[in-house]
Amino acid sequence: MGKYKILILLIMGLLVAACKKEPLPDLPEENEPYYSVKGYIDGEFINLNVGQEGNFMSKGVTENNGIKSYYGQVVSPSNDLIIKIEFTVPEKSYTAQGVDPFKQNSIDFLVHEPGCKMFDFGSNILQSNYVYIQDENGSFQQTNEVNFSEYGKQNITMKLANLSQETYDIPIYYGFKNEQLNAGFSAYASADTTFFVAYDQDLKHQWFLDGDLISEEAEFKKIIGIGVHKIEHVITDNYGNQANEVSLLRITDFVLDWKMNILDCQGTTAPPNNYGRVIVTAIIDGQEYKSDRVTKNKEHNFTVSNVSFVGNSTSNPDWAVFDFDFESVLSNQNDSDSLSLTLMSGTFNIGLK
Amino acid sequence: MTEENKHMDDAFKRMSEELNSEQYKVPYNAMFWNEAKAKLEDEQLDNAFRKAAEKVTVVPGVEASFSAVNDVFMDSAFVDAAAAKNVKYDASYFQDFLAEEGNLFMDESFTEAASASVVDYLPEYWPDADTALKNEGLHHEYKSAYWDEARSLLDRSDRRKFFFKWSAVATILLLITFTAPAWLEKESALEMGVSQQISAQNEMIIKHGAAVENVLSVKDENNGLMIHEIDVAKSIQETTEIKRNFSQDLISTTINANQQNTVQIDPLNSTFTDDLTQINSTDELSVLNLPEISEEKKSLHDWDITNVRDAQTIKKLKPTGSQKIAMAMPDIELSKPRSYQVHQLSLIAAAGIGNKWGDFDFVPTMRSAIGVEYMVASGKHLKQLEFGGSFMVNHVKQSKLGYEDRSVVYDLSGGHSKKYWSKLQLKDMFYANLNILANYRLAPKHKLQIGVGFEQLIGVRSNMSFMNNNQNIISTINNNWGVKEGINTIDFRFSLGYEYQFLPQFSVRVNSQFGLLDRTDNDFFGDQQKDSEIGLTVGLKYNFLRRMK
Repeated sequence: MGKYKILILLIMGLLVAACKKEPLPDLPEENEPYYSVKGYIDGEFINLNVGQEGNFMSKGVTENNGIKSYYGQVVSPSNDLIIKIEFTVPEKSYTAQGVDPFKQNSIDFLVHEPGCKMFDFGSNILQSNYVYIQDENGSFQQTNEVNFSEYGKQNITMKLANLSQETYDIPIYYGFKNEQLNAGFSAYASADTTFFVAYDQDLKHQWFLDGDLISEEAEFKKIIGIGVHKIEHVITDNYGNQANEVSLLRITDFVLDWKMNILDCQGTTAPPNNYGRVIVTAIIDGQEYKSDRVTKNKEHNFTVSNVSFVGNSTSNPDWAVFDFDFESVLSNQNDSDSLSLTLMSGTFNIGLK
Repeated sequence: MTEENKHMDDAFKRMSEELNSEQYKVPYNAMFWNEAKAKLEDEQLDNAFRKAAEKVTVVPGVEASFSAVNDVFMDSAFVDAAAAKNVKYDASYFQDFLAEEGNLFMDESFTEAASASVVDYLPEYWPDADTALKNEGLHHEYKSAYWDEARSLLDRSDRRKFFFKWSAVATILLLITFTAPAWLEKESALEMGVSQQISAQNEMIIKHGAAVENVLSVKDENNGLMIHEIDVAKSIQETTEIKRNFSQDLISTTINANQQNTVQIDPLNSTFTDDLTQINSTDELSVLNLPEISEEKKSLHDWDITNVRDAQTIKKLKPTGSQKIAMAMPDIELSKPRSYQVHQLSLIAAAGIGNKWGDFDFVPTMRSAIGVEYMVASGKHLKQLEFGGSFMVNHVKQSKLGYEDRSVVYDLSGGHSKKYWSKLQLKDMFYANLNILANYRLAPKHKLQIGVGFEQLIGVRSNMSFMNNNQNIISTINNNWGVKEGINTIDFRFSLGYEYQFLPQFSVRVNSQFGLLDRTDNDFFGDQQKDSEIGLTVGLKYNFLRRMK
């Protein structure tokens, strides 16, 4: 009888041990959606909550016509709608507190205007007659001016036909003028020596001659060989903000003949500085509508508030969160259709990296 | 005369001629007249008989007269037979008849005794009687094997009746529950209070004809125990059967009396013998001619039946009419019954239905229970009551008692939100249950039970599915015993039940229970409903241990 008792107890013990004893799982605490966009698109109310109904956000850093931009966008697959907000970088994004994509609460819309840039060769006024610029088809056309339909940066390939067939890649900024970080410099000759002087002396300087670093001083002199040379001046402030200026030099008999300057075309008004401006894009049913083509948006402002930054490093955050409200008019590529966005508000984020 | 009448007249004339012709002449026969005369005389004779019968008065029904008529016919038949056949007389035949005369009388006596005695076999008393016989020690050789064999035969015969009997009884069991008080009250009156003075183990059932009322009683005369005063002052025209069933003994007494006397029977103080040959040396077994009983022997216990001389005296008593007391019983020496406390330990298994917890639904859910019960019956006081307790494991099955939780966590980065959820289905709840019980005996086999108890949750079986990770993997765990959330752990309950003992060790019980507290956690389920336990079960009780002290 004793062994039967032990056997029964053993079986009971095995049964008890074999029973699954999984506790009720603790679910994480629920929270409210962080991001949303609501307002009226052509009078139709929309309310997109990120995380609901499949809505999600993407963000990051992109280039808009060659200009660095911070952007974020809400994607609503159920509505086949994407709303994108992008900010061109401020002239000085980095401050003592870290990156700051917004220099003010009320931000102007970036509205493109066509424009023109020209090359100036100082006292050698005939040189401009031998400037050839590569067109979209790859052929060089003689012209001293570069036309812009939108603000931004263009990298042009040019050659000076009277001197050589060598081509030079020169970046040209239209509508983005370095005022706080001025990488401009002057160059003059003394005998066979060329002197370089930066306009802004208090920054870090890097001087590249034909791609080679030749100086890190605000001012320096150098004997440069005969020919046309490409010189680039890069300045960096204490927070990492950078600006550069690229130009060409011609040395004849070891004496500076001219330094090429990039100027606005004669007879045109100076474009506004579009650093830190905003562009709103809506893609509905695959059709893209943007705010930067509608002149009326110059009258509107994009208000930013409650800006916060998220990231592992406070000085170098990953993205910025902000509340916004705005009104804007968006148009499609050929301005054949437009959208009126009114009473738009919500919470958004943009990527900073 | 018209032409028409003339034709008619001619037709009559022709008919007359035909009738007078030779063809229609009939000769006279005297036999016809004699026959008619004889019929006439029979009718006169019949009338004569009728007149005679009206003057004669016939008194029917004297049995002896008819017997005599029969004997006459029989004699005539024998005479005819004797005339037809002669048989040689052999004197040894008569000697053989004389030698076997006693046995022949014995057989006839047994036959009459068997027809006069009605022994109601009750299987539940058999083991007790067996034990009692062993303890008492019999005059004759007693073997348990014989006893067991006899019991098995009786049980077998009972089994045949069982299904027919109890299938019908089971269907009206609930009706009996409600009608039992009135019915039992009536039957209790017929039992003359005997069973009220005898402990539950010493029961007496007395049945008698409808004409007998307030005739028999049990009186505490000497020491207050088991004195049967049988007052037959009323005209008892029908057989009165007194059957006593004790745990130690079995006595069956049949009284058929028509007397103005009072007979006192104290069988407990008397010593009887089952030597029927001795008692029934007369052709009436034992016959008491009550008018001839001396004053000092009016009580049966004054007779020492084991005494041969008294037995002879009894034998010599002659019956008068139908007055007889016939007793057939084993050789049992009766003693005063003792008051016992009966301790009983039982196994109980039950199943039934109960209310659904959670959202209301008319569809019931299942209940079951298993456990042990201990009851003690007092032998002295409160004989109709039993007290005790039980330890049960109660099972509550629920079909749609569920819980579902969802959680959406939105990502600060603005990516896809993460959705978490868990779903729980509580299937089986098990409770440890302690009860304090009280039984009220409506009748020897019928009890009402009430109880209060405490219940402690000991286990919950559930099925669970959840997704609480970032890999979008759904986990499912069935037959899980790790979740007790949502079920309150304690409850108090009241129970009310009815029990019927259909075999000595088996009873069927209908029990209802009512919980006091809310079984479910409203905070957990997010409702305000009170899920009190309500259940009705039908169970089987097996008495596996019984001790009398």
